[in-house]
Amino acid sequence: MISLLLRDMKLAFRVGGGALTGILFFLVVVTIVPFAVGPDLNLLSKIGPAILWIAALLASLLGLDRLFQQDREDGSLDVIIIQPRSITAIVFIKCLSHWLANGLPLIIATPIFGLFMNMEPLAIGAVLVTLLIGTPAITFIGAVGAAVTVSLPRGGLLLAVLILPLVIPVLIFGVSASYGAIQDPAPFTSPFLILCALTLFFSVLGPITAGWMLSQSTD
Amino acid sequence: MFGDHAAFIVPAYGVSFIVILALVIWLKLQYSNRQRELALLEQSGIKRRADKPSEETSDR
Amino acid sequence: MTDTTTKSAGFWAWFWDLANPTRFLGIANWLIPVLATITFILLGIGLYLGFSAPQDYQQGATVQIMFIHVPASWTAMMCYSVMSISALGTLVWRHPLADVSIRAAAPLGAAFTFLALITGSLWGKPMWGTWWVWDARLTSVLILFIIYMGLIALARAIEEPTAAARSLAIITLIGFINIPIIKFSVDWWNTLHQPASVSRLAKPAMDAVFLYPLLTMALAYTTLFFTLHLMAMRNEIFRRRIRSMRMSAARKFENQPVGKRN
Repeated sequence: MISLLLRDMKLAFRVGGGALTGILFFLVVVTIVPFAVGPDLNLLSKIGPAILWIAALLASLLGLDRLFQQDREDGSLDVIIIQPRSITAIVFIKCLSHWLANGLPLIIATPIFGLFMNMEPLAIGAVLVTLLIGTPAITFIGAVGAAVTVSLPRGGLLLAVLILPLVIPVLIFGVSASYGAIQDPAPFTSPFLILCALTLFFSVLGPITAGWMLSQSTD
Repeated sequence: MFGDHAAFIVPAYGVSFIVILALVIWLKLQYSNRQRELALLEQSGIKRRADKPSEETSDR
Repeated sequence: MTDTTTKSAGFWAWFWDLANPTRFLGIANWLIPVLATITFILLGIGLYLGFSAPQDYQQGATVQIMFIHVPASWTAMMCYSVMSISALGTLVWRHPLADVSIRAAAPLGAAFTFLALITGSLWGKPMWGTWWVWDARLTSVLILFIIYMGLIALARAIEEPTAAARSLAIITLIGFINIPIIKFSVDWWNTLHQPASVSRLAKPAMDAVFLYPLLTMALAYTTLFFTLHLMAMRNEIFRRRIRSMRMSAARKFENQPVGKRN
């Protein structure tokens, strides 16, 4: 399992810098927001957590089609599928490595982008924590979409459309928890706990479903 | 009868009627198109596997 | 599979008898006109009851829109339940017609969701003053619309029939599992951001004079849905027959020696 993890991570960072493209997309989205809403720093800091979450969500969605595609293209997906190990565990590990290679860099880049949005340190910290907990959920449930669209051309777009409704709860509770940490009347604990629950739930549902889907396809 | 709200009630019923009618028409047209195609195919001698029980060997 | 064998005796025998497309077509051919007639009658009664209902003291005459908005959204949700049961049919029981059912239902569900959104908007404008409001119910319906459209896109994207059936069924079920979560999160989000001025579309204790038209219309929309669903399933079965006939014709053509091809 560890070897699979390490192999995927090496591939992710070597091949075409998929992780870096994700950070770049994150940067692009954050950059164009002030062009649209104006450079008023007060407004930017008010919508900062929401914008960061949206940008991270979109960047994660766009990177999901890489989850299984490379392995499929060079044929190693079939080899992986017929492993004696449980396919669920394999998909779980792949999701984990995908998140480490794609999601974690986004999170690391968040403080810088938080400064672009003129956010307070507490706000940046809140967004960091919620993204840390929430982005794996996107990867886990996105695995189902990735397994379904793995053999389709332009599958990435369809994947995003299919998965987006499912990750709306993650977005809602992630942003609510962020605002809850910085605004007094708004609650933090309940949305945060629900976010954790969502991630745990998807970490089970996603790999099981995606693994089953992959094991069925004789593509 | 509906007063000033008619401007909303009428379009609501109108849109519902149009959409439902469009669905019915679409399905009916689809049905007749496909019936026609099936008749054409059967005319030109193509048989369904279910229609030829024993002689036809599977050429898959 | 001959007609005399059944998967299990008794109650479920009809379920598997129906798996034969020809038998299904036979049933559909008489059932569709029957359901259509019932739909017409129910629509007539419902519309009559609705238009003869008095004006609601709160909403005025726009309560009329409720009689086509609420049934539309109920039908949209029921359609998804039908699709989810069919998805189980594909994955668990491998019922041959289950995939036909899902493909036939998806556009219908999208259409009813669309109707729910438009009528909801037209209901909201005189009540709240805006064409759209992000209240929990309308937002959930909008998300359901997106889910339907995604399923339709997925159905069109995958060529190979068994893979398509599997993918469609899986995504439908994943959606089904997640819809309560989405509904809960949208409700939560809505109560969090509730501006004090927007009066919630509270469910008033409904007077019988409004309940009867509503229920009649809801029943009418339900029979309408099943009529359309059977029609669409019938068409889908024909489409598959045409496809397989074409493919076997192409195979025959290829198998013939070159000189004999006309």
